[in-house]
Amino acid sequence: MRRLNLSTVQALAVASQLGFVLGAAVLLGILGGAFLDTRLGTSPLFLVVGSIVGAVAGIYSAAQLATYLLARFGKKNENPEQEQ
Amino acid sequence: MEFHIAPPTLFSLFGLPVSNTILTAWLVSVVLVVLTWLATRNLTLVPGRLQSIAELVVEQFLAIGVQTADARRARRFLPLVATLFLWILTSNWLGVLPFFGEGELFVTLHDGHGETHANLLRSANSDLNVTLAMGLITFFYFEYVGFRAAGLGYLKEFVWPGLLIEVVSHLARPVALALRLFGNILAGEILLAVMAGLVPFLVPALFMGFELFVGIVQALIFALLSLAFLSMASAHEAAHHGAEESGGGSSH
Repeated sequence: MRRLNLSTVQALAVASQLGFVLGAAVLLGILGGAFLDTRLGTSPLFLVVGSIVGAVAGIYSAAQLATYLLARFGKKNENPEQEQ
Repeated sequence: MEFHIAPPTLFSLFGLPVSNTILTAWLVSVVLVVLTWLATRNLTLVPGRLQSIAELVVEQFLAIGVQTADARRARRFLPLVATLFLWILTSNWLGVLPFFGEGELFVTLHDGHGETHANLLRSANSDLNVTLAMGLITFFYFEYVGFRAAGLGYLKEFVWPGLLIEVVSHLARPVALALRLFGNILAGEILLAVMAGLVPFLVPALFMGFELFVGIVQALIFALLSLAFLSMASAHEAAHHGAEESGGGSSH
C-alpha cells in the first residue's frame, strides 16, 4: 500500500478539500437545478438532476485531487520483510 | 447579542455599497503595501532587519511550495500564491485585534427602520464576497494556465466524463476554497463574540490565541490548494511538450 509523504498542513488541506469540494459541487448542482426549475416551471425535476450531477462531479473532483496527490506525494512502503 | 452574517453597508462609494469587511480589506491592503515598501525600499546584499524578515517569509513559503508542486512551478506561481497567503494571514490576524468584530468601534446607521449600530471594522474573510472573489481569481488563473499550456486541447478535458460534470467539478474548487475560509473565520468571529459575552476576562484571550493558529492554518491551506490546482492545470504543459518531443524524436 502506498503512503503519502505529506506534512501536517498539507494533510489538513487535502482532507478538508476532499470534503468541501463534495459539498460545494452538490450545492452548485442544487442551486443550478433550482434556478432552472424556477425558469422552466419543472420543479423538482432539475433540482433532483442537479443534485445528482453535483454529487457525481464532487466525487470526480475529489478523485482527481487524490490522483494528483498519489502521483506527487505517493511513495512505496519500505518493508524489509517483504523484500527478503 | 446580535450577529449578522451578511456585513452591513456603511456607506456608498460611486454608487457601490461599502461594508465594514470591505473597509477592513482596504486596510489590510494598505498595511501590506506599506510593510512591503518599507522592507524593499533599500535592498542591500547584507540585509537589514525588515529585509531579512521579508526574505525569510518568501524563502520559507517557497520551500513549502516546492513540497506541494515542483521547484519550477512553485517559483512560477509564487507571486499569486504568496500574495494570497500573506493577504489572508494579515486579514485573519488583524481580525483578532480588539477593534475588529464585536469591539469598541461602532457606527450608527440610519435606515428606514430607524437607527442601528454596526461595527466599523470586521474581519474581511468573514464575508463570503471576499473569499469567493479570491477563489474566483484562482479559478480564472488556473483556467488561463490550462489553456495556455495545452491551447484548445485543454477543451478535451471537458469531453470525459461529460461537459456538465467537468464544469461543475471545476467550479466546485473555488467555491470549496471560499466556503472553507469563510466558514472558519466567521465561526471564529462568532466564537470570540460569544466568549467575550460569557466570560469577559482571560478566557477570550485563550480563544484569541486559537484564532491566531486557525488564521495561519487557513491561509496556508488556501494558498497550498491554489498552488496544487495551478500545478494540475500546468501539468497539461508537460504532457503537451512530451507529445511534441516524442513526435520529433524519431529523426535522431
